[in-house]
Amino acid sequence: MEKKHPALVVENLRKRFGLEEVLKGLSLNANEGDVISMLGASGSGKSTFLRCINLLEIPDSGSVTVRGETIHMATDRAGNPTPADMKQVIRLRAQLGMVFQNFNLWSHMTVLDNVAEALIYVLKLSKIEAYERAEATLDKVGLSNRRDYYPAHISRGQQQRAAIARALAMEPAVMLFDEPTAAHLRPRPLLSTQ
Amino acid sequence: MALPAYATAPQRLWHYTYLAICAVVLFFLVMPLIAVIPLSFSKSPFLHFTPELLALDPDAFSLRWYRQMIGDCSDPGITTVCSDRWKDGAWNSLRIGIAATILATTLGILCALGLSRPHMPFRRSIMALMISPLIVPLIITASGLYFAFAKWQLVSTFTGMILAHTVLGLPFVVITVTATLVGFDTNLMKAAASLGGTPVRSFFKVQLPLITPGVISGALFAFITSFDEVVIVLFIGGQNQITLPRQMWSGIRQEISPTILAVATILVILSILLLTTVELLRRRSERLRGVSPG
Repeated sequence: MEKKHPALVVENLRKRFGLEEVLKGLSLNANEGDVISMLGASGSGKSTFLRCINLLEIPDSGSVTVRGETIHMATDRAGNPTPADMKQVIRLRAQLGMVFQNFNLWSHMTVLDNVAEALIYVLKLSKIEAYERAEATLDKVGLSNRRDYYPAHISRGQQQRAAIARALAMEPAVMLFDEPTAAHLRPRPLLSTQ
Repeated sequence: MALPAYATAPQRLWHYTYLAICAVVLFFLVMPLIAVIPLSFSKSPFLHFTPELLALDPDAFSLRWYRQMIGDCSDPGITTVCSDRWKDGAWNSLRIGIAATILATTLGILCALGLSRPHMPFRRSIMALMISPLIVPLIITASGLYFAFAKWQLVSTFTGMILAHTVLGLPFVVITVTATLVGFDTNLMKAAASLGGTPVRSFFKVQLPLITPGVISGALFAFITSFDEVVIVLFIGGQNQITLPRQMWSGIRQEISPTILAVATILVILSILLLTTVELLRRRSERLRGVSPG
């Protein structure tokens, strides 16, 4: 059933900040395995677009469909768009892995705990399963020797790989990378699907 | 702060004057505390330094006031009233202090979280209202609470005492947690949300652990405020809510017993221990956060 639907469909997405319309009806269709990069000047809305996909920013209009499931939107009393069902948004976010520009690793947890956290509390895996998967993912990104370090004690490149592992371990439908080349890692696509 | 080799004469003069001023201020602040400690070990039932005590004669020292404090009345040399009231007072202080701290910390964190939202209306007014117990004279807060609580039958109850001390402790928690939240990177919450974390779960797993230093120092201030508070106890506490400071207050008024000094010494030591613990915790969390290399 998953094969039938594209991994991610974005239709006519609009977002304005004050008077400035940043996203003017953006559409995108990503099939499983596609790698899509976005280029643009700073401030042109690349990050905003990514944040609108997983609703960290609420788009003014347009729709986002993940593996055939469209995020329902409604309007609140003030007339602003708002997610109709926050539970659905939370569920679908787990399908949309995101690597932030500053990685946003949790500084009070080790690299391994950073990766395992969501596996335990969002995917509800048992601790053993979660840590097994977290270790395997860290191994994949070549960071297993740094798993017991705190994020502040590893280099930026390693922090980025830890952040990738954290998103990847969730086995999401889509991976969203915000400014992946900023950490001097070899250039990677901005948006890629499994 | 060492003096450089090339310092001129006026610079030298200022440097030593500055050190002298610091020493005098420190002495002024610490002296009352230091004076209490040897007196609490004195055998004499009077509050003064006997010649034997100053000569460090071992016979001039005893632990009798500490024994009396814990309710051990076997010492025939004790002429003042001996009872379990210090133990009861400590127990009451602890109960009221801990309950008020838990309540003030919970409410204070929630309040600080709300106030830290950029779109919160009437932010400044609410903040001013929250910290008003610090500014309004204590006696006014106390009498206000007394009249309000009298209506609700909360006077002379533990519930009333705990609520009143919560009001006093709340501003400390709100101020420290608000200050900590200023330095909190909200993107870490976005990261939790992007992984499918619910807001409540993300708060407990990500935000709360990172603002813990602020929460702990706020809670500590709230606890100490409750623990050494006497005005509100006089208004709202009944016979069953006599706390340690209330006991000391009546002890000084009715009979001057060195037991008060023993209690004071214990309180000083407890405060030092608490402050040290908090400082160690703060350093630990700073070490973990570190500064990212590169």
